[in-house]
Amino acid sequence: MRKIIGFIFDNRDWFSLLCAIFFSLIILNNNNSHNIQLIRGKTNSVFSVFFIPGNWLKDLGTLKSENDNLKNKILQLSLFNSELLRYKNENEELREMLDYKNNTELSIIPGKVTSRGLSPLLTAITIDVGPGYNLMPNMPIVNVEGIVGKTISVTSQTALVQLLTDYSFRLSVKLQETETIGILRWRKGDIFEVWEIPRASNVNIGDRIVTSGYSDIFPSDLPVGKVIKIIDRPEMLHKIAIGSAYVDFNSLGHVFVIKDYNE
Amino acid sequence: MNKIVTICLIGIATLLIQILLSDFLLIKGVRPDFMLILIIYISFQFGSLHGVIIGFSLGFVEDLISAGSLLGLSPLTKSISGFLIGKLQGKYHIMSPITFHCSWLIILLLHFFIYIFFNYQHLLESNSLAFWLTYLYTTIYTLVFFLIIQSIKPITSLSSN
Repeated sequence: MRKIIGFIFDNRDWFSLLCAIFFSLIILNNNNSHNIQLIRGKTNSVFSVFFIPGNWLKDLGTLKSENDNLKNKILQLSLFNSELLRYKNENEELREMLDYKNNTELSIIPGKVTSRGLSPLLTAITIDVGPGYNLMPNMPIVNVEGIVGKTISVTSQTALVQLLTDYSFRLSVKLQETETIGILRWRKGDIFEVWEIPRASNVNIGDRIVTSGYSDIFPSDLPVGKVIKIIDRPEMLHKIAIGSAYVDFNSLGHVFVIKDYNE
Repeated sequence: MNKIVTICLIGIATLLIQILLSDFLLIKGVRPDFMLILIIYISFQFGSLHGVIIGFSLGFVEDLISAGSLLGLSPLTKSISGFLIGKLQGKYHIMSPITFHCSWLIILLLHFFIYIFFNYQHLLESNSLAFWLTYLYTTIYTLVFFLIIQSIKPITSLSSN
């Protein structure tokens, strides 16, 4: 026994490495377990306090440019809004004539980004929505520009959000113009790929990409991005559309949780 | 005992620096890994055992807070890096300078390769150039900060202890 202990002590660096690898693999293997998700949620909730000074400074630094951008956007939106109102009235009249059902209705909760994690790659954020909301995993997260991600673990006030930029995130999307369905996965920066587009379908640069609605999590027609390049090689069974996201993931400040929606 | 307290305090300080600065240094979704830099320094100074312990602990906290989808990857890569770099402790005068510097650089490159590979393996299949560019940006960004700190406190002065 003494010999074994002596051997372990003499090679303690190797044993510590083996233990570290063993525990890391166990944790990796239990990524989706409820307890691990709970620990993640609680830790994020505790550590979000440390992100407050950084967020405060960043908010101050970007306040002026954000204000200018918002004024600019308000002007654009108010012009756009008046045009849309005209279309809305026209649409309602036509719907009445055709006896269509109601449009999609979303119930949203506003949230503030409290932490953007520490990993060298930006793949998750923590948001604070305040008390009184019954948050759950797998709730869609959006901002004014489009899809941001989904909740993966929650506490009473905060939620950990897996961003669209995470390597394992898959989203069923469609090209709005042609209604062609594809699967989105992230590439790098603000660029993503849409796979499984039938070769016969017509895809054009600039086409809007929105959620397809063929998902238990995301409602349909939420904006995602636009097509910037198309890969169509003779040896490929499907086309790949390269898209650019509407959301700027580097400057997420406020987001919305979609609590309920009916289509 | 003092050594452990010092390492813990430096670890907490680095964690806070990473929390406070990482957002300001974010470029196209990539940021420097100050905790890896600390692990390199601790391993050079105190050896493999401390490298593994600090690598596992900081990696675990990093994954808990960052919470992408692979909890456990950072403790794995960081503890391996800490162990391998710790093996270079005190080797500066035995090895040639080129071999010595190439060794820690290869360990650093290996660390980021494993990390990026697990996170972007689909990209390697679909667009290998984009994969290698992501790998390069992430590695170089941390390496730049490492070289800045290295110019203030060279690792050769640590490994000669």
